[in-house]
Amino acid sequence: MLGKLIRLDLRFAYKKYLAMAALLILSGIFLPWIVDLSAAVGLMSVFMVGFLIIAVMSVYLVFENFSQNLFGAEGYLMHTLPVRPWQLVASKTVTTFLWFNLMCAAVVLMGILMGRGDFSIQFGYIGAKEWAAFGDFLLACLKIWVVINLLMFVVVLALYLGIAFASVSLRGRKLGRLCGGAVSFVGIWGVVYLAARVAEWLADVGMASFDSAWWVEGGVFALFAVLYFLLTTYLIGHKLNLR
Amino acid sequence: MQTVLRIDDLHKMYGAQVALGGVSLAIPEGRIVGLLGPNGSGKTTMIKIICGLLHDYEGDVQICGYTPGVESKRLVSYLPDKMTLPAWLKVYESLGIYNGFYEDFDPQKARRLLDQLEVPEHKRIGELSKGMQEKLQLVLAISRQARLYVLDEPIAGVDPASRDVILSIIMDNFAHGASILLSTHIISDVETVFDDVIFLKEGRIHLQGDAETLRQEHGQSIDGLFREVYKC
Amino acid sequence: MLKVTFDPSVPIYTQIVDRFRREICSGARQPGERIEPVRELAGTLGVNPNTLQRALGELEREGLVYAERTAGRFVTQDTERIFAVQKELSRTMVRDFVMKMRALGCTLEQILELVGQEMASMEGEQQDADGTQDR
Repeated sequence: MLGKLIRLDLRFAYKKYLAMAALLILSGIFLPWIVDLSAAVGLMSVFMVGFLIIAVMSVYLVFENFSQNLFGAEGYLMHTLPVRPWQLVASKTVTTFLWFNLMCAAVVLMGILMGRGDFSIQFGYIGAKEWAAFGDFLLACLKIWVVINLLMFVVVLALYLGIAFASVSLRGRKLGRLCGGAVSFVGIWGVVYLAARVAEWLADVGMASFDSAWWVEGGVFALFAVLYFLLTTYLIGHKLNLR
Repeated sequence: MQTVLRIDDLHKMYGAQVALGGVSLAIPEGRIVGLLGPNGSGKTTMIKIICGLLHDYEGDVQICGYTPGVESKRLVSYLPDKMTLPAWLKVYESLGIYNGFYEDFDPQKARRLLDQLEVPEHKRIGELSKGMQEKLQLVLAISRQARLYVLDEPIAGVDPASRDVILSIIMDNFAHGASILLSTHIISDVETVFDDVIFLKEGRIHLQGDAETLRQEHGQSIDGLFREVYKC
Repeated sequence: MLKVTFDPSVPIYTQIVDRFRREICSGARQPGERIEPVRELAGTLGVNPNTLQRALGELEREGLVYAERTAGRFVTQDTERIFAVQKELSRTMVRDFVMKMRALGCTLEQILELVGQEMASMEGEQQDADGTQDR
C-alpha cells in the first residue's frame, strides 16, 4: 500500500517539480551567456540567491500539496482509501525527500553549469582547504547531505504538523491556521535554536569536532523529525475532521 | 444475517453545537436505506463518521464488526456529494487508482458503465460537465464489491432525464448481500427504491421504519411524510 | 426504456402485484413465460429488489406465478387460474365503474347504451387505424 501511495503522490506532484528542476538547469546553461557572473557578484552569491528562491518555492509546493491533498476536496478520496494514517504521512514525506534531493541535484548541476569556467577552481579550493584525501571529502559531503536531509525532514514534518493541527482545530478556520502556523514556526525554529545551543554546549565541553557535531546535531534533528511524524500521524488518525 | 452497519448512541459535538445527539441504528445486509433530512440534521456528520473522515466522536460505530479504520474502508464504498478527484486526472487514470487500491474493484464493469453513461474515458475530469463528473464518481463507487455503499446525494447534480438511468444502474450493479445507505433530499425520484428510511432531525432520529409500512400507516408517500415532518 | 411510475403514496408492492396481474391477464406475459431475474426487473421498474420479491411472493401465493429452484420464476401455465383472476379483476373494475356511473345519476339502460356506443366507436377507430396501415 505504501508503495502505491508513494506512486500516487508522485503523480500528483511531479509536474511542478520537474518544471522547477528544468528551469534551474536551463538557467544554469543560459545564464552565463547573459550575465557575467564572476565579475559582479560572484558565483556563490548567485548560488545562494537561487537556492533561496527554490527553497521558498519548494516549501510552498510542499505545503500546498499536503494541505490540498489531505485536507481539501481530495482528502475525501485519500482518507477513504484503505491505508493507515502513518502511511499517508510517510508517503508524502518520502515524496518530498525525493523532490528535495532532485532539486538539490538540479541546483548543484546549475552551479556547475554556471561556473563552468571557474568551477574547477572553486572545487579545488574547497577540496584543498580542509581535507587531504578525496575520499574524506566525499565522506564529508555524504555526512553533510545526511544532516541537510535530516534538517529538511524537521522542516517539512513541522510544516505537516502545523497543517494537520490547523485543520483539526475546531475554533474556526482563521484561528486554526494561526495556531497551525505557530506550531510549524515553533517546530522549526525551536529545533534550530536547540541545535545552536547544542553546538555551543559541544564547544564548551570540548567536543566541537565535525564528527561529534554531526552525530549530536543529526541525532537532534532525527529525534524531532520522528516526533513530528508521530504527532502528525496521531492527529490524522484520531482527530481528523474533514470539511 | 450479519449487521452491516451498527451505530450505538452516537454523539458528536462541534463546540457547543450538537451535530449528533445519540443516534442508534442497525442496518442488516441486503437493505437499501434512505437517510433523509435537511441540511444541518446530522446526515453529513454521520456519513463522515461511517466513512472514516471524522474520528472524534462518542459512541460505537461498527461496519461489519469493524470500527471505522483501514478494515472498514475496504468494505465501504463511498460516493461523496462533491468532486474529489483532481481536475487534471484523466478518467481512465481514476479507474487505475481505484483498481490499485481496492481489491474488490472491477475495471471492466466500470468501463462498461462509463460507456453506457457516455462518459469519455480519455478526457480530463476538469473537462467534463458536472453531471458527467457525478456519473464518473458513481461508476467508481458502484464498481466495487463492497458490503456497504454510502451514497451521498447520488442524483442531486444529475439532470432529471438521467436520474432514472442512475437509479437503475445503482440497483443493477450493487453487490449481492450488500446494503446501501442513500442520503438525499430529492426524495420523490428515489423513494420507490428504499427498503427502510431514517429521518434525521437536529441530530436525532425522528422517525425510522420500513418504507412500505410507513406508506400504509401514514397514507402518503415518503416524500409527503418528509414534507410534513420538516415543515417548520 | 419506458419509465414505469409507481404512486409512492400507496405501498409499492401492491402496485407491482396489480401490474403483474394485468400483464398476465392481458397476455402481455404468456403462460409459462419466464420472469426476469429480480435484480434486473427491479432495475427496470425502479423499485427495491426486496419490494419486488415481496410482490412476487404474493403472486406465488395467488397461484399466478411459480418458482423453480434453479431456473427462476415463471408465469403459471394454469390458464383456468389466470381466467379466474381475470374474471375477479374485471368484476372489481366493473363494480367500480358502475358505482361511479350511478353516483353520476345514470340508469342501467343509459350505462349499457354508453358502453355499447363507446365499444363501437373504439372498434371503428381500430379499423381505421388498421385500414391506413394497409395502404
